[in-house]
Amino acid sequence: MTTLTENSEMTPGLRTLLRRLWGERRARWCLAAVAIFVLAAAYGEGVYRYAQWRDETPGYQKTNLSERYLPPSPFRDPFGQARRAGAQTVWQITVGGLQALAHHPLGTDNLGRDVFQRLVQGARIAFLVGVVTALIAIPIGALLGCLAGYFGGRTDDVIVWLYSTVASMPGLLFILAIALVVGKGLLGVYLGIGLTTWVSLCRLMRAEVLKHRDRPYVVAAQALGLGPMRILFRHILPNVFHLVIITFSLRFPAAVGTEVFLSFLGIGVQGEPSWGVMISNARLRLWQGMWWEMTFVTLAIFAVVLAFNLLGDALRDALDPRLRVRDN
Amino acid sequence: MPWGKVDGRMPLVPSIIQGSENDPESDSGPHLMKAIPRVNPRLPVVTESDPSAGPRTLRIMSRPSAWIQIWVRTIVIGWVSLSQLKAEESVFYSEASRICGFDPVRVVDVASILAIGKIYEGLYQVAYQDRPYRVEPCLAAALPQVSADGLILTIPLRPGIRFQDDPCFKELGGRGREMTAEDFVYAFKRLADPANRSPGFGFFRGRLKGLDEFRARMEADPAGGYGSSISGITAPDRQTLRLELTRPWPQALWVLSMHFTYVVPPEAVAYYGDNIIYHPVGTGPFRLAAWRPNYRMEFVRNPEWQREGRFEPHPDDVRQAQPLLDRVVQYVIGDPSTQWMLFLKGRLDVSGIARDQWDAVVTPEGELQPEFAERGWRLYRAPASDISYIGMNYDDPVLGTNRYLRQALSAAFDRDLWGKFFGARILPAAGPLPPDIEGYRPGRTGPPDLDRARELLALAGYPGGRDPATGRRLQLSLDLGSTDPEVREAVELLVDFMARVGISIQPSYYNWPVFLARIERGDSQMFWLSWLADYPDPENFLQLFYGPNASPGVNRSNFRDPAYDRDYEAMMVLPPGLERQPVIARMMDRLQEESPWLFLHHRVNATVVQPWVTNWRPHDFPYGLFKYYGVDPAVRRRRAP
Amino acid sequence: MKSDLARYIGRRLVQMIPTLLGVILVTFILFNVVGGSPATQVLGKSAGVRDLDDYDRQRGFDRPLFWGAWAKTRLFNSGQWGKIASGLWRGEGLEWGEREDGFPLKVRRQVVLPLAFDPVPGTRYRWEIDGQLTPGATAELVCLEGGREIGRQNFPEGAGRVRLDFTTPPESRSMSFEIRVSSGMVELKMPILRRALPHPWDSQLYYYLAHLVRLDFGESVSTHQKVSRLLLDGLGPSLALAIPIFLISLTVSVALALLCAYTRDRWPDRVIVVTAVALMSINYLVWIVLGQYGPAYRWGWFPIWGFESWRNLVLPVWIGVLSGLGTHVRFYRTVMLDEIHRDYVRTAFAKGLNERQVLFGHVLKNAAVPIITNAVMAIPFLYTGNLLLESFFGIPGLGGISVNAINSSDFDVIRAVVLIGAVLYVTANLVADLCYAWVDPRVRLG
Repeated sequence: MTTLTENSEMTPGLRTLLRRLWGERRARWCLAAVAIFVLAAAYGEGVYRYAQWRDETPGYQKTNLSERYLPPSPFRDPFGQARRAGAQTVWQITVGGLQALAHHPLGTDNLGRDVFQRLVQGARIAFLVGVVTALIAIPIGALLGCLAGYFGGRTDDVIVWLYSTVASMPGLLFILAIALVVGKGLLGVYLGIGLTTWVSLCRLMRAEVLKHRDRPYVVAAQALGLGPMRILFRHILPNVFHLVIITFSLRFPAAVGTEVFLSFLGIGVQGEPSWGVMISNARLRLWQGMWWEMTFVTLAIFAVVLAFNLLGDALRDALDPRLRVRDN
Repeated sequence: MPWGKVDGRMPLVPSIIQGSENDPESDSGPHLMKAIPRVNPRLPVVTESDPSAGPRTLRIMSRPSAWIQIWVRTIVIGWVSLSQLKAEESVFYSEASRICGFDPVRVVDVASILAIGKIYEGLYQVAYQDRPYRVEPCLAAALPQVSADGLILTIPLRPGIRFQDDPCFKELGGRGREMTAEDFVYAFKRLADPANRSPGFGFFRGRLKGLDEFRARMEADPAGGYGSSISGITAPDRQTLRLELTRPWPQALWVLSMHFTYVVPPEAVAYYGDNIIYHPVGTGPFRLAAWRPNYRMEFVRNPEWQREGRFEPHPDDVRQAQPLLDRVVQYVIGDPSTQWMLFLKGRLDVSGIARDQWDAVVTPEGELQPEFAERGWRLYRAPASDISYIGMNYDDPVLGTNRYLRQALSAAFDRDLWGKFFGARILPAAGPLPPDIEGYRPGRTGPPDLDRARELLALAGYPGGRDPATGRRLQLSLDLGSTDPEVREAVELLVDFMARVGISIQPSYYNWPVFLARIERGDSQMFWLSWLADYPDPENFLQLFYGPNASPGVNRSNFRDPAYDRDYEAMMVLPPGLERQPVIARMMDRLQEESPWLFLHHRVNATVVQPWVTNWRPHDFPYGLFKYYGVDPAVRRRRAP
Repeated sequence: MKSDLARYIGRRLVQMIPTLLGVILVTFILFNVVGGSPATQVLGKSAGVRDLDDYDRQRGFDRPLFWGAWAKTRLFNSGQWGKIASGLWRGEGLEWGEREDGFPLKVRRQVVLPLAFDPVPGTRYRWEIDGQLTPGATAELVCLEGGREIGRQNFPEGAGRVRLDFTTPPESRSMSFEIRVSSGMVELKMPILRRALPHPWDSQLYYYLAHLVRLDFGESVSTHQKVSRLLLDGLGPSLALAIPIFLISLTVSVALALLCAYTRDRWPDRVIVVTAVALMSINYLVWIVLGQYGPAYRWGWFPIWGFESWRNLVLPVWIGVLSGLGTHVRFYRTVMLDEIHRDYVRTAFAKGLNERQVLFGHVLKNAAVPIITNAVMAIPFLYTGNLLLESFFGIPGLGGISVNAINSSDFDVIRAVVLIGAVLYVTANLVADLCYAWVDPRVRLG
């Protein structure tokens, strides 16, 4: 069926992969954007952990009703502010102005909390959701897919039954239902998304392993008397691992989007500044002209999802020539 | 019937929400432009005045001569409608929550009661104008005559009240029957029927002679019960209802003005069965024109009121007859943001003001901002009969046994900032009783006494908020039943207050049913709830601390205090007045001392009303009061944005 | 041929059964195990324990999930024993055991186990109390009816469980239960009172299946309406929104994909691909929030809310189409380009056909298979509606109903929506396969 040789289908090593990605300008930009996102998430996690460790209210939760609704600092005439505060020389004005710029750079919300810090915390939540749901969905999908493809027969029947059952339920509603049953909060989001999104990977893996089952290298391994698990996980899995990476790159932005949606509906994250929560708060004040919270959250989501989408394309091109989004 | 038609007619107004700016037909203002009743030639006989039309239409269709009749009627009705248009319909548009159908005995939520109150009526109602609130007769002709021992109430009924026309009155050919005292007896039986699962039975349990026995009989024999009589609820003649109580019940009139005993004709229940929730048949000022669950309700004037000469003078202007409105249209919007945008565009006639809008709409002095005052809006503020509180579970090992800790939480609560956050939409609370209710004490304002709070914390065994067992901050969990942004932000503020004295509050959000279930099982440590009065009597609030009412009863914090319980039992049978006041004061003292709740605030209802709305007055028990509201179409045409 | 088709369809229908059973089971487990009883929600704030218990009995919420002879009752609250008991007997001089041990109550004398109301007459109940006796202690559970003893059971020595069955008399009289300790001490853990069921299969699953067979999906807790009626009411508006979105986005995205294939690697293709990725990356929520705020409220081009005429649908349809367009265009473009690189296209070009002939004559025809499959598989999702679009724009469809149901734990409604969605999905699957065979004769049914 396929004319490609086995080698070209092998998942390339990490170094080869990065080299291939780095070779493309667009992919380079995306990698940089993703790196910034990961750093922001790590910083947010640090702030969160530190506050927990110190056993105090973290900065992004501190309310200050006298600083409500501050617009982003460039809109507050920072240098004029510095001058009015008594700065005389150019140097003083510059320093004072820069200080004013750094004070709530993206403005505050209606409890006087810093939008920038909350945005960073949102990145942290988004990152967690993306990674944890992938960690739930991918092992389930990969394991079941491999088993079904390799063993066939009864095992295959049961697994196919399982995934067709899950697939036939209306997706978003199923996620909502699981989140509802588990309870509001991050755990509900993790399980809701994680337990419903393994199906596509499972299907892909099953089909791919099915193809590999009769390849000479597998037959040879069987002839050597190796156990089925060893063949499956040591020999076949590395050859189909690119599917996992591609699925991850697709699932990640989708999970971020779903989290925003769940949190907006009030089923997801509680008591933490997730992006969905921020949108739902900011929306109430849009008509009064408080545009900043909404705008920055929207841009953040857009940037992250765009970067992942483009990176996903690049990964697919680099990993699986047959799935290539053909550009040339 | 996917369109939720109620009596076979399509909604008369096919379009009202859509934009007026780019709608060429809307030169007369967005609400009025489609007010022409569209007569559908295929269903010409189905009009308000002909309720039995459904089946009859089919019969008529089978005869050729019927077509002539149909066309004649169409023209006549069309002409009549057009002439009505000249007088301009007054239509009231507002928002409503989803409702649970139109069966008085089966609902308990405010939205449903509001809807039901437009169609059904009861013996008594809460007067529209008077404050403090008082009960006045509605379908009763006068207040009851009470026997010397206070146990027998004899209630005269108004003669000549008819139910609205409905096909269920088969003997009269669909003409509404006259209401009698037996209909009220039947209403009580429906309330007690276990098959109806009425949430209102709890109010009457053990109060009326023979009612509980009737319920037990119905449970044993669901089929045959309605024939049997209830010794305490009888109809000596067509216009008299006699109620016999088991013990004195000072709140009886308030409870009789609630919706549970609104009068329902047995014919309608027999005719519609379970579908009675879609087909209300009442005596009230309106009748249901169309109901599309989850979206829209439309009520039209009940022609019976004019036809039978039932003249109800309006309390503001005795020359005007009720109802003032021709139609009421209500939408289920849900989202407060959307609702506000629609109000700004003049598509809704009244609106509450959410916290996020408050600063932009109302000046710090409590007036409308000039730009909105220019639009002719009117702002009404009136304290609501309710209390918002953080309940603390007495069965909880940490909070339940530690009075100092509960007092410390109350002391650390910053009423100033809380007030600033909510704007002038709340009043500080000192106890459960809201303003306008006997025994109310005004709450104090001013910054919190943090030193006192710290002192109390130390007395409670948590110096500096540290839990000696763990060495970390004391952790308390707070359950919430809503994830509304406003609740969420208020909770974040509250968490910050308590963090100042070193207590760490962990909010957990649940949806409403799960939240209730947790409280009921005693799983919640603290919870935020509010109690909206069923009737404006202190008993309705003080019952929330009565020991035997503990979970799953209304005493959700499971407060048990023998001294309080004794006072409550004494207070229950006392009529309002001098004898009762010291008892109530003693109970309030006890509550302040024990602090089973953190008393947050009493809400102030803030409503903005469009300039064309007339006779509007805020009311805490507005069930059945739509008959008093009016709309001036001319003003609407002139001023609608 | 015809009988082949019938046999194929028949076999596929049989294959659907296990999947649907799976869906029924999953939804049942998901909602009934965790769900609990909605009694408090239905009966409101003033309902008594007795009313709640009556409700549970009528709606079957007190029964076991799958199998069992005993039903729960609210007669005695055995929830969090430690908390409840500490509240009940506070100030009565009783002692408590270690906290880890589930708050055992240490009893040295006589304790009355309080009932919430008088038990239902003519019903069999069973007490089960775990107790731990100090060596040499004796204790017993006594059942009294109107002050007269009608049953008694001794606690076993050491740690053990005492069981006491009793039947309430047909006419109701007050019943009470006491634990009497004559010597030593007993530590009580979790007393449980249960009601006997007529037969052990009378479970919640049976109740659910029995109603399902009669196509009775139950009653909505939050609106008191029959679920079937609720769903029928919602179907029309949902489809009124979903069908235009589906048709428009299918046509537009296939057309754009064709344009991409036609101008591949030139600027129109590039522009479309970049735009598609950008569109994909805008969050659905943002589309809706900004769409309602900008075009509808701020600029007044569209109605803000409502379901009165087709005008109300314009904006939501626009948003629905735009938010899905990126994904669709990219998908169909990949499909087309896949075809273009096949051998037959090269052959066609070699035969001297021009680009347009090849594209519309050959490529589109062959690409039809995945396009149709994709389209047919999208149909079941039309029914679930667009959750957010509907609730934002006031379209009273199934999406809005589902969101409300989720928010009010209206399990009967969610269960029905999920189940019907699943039925449609498997049906669509079958239809897609049949279309496959119909479009592409190479595919054989078998």
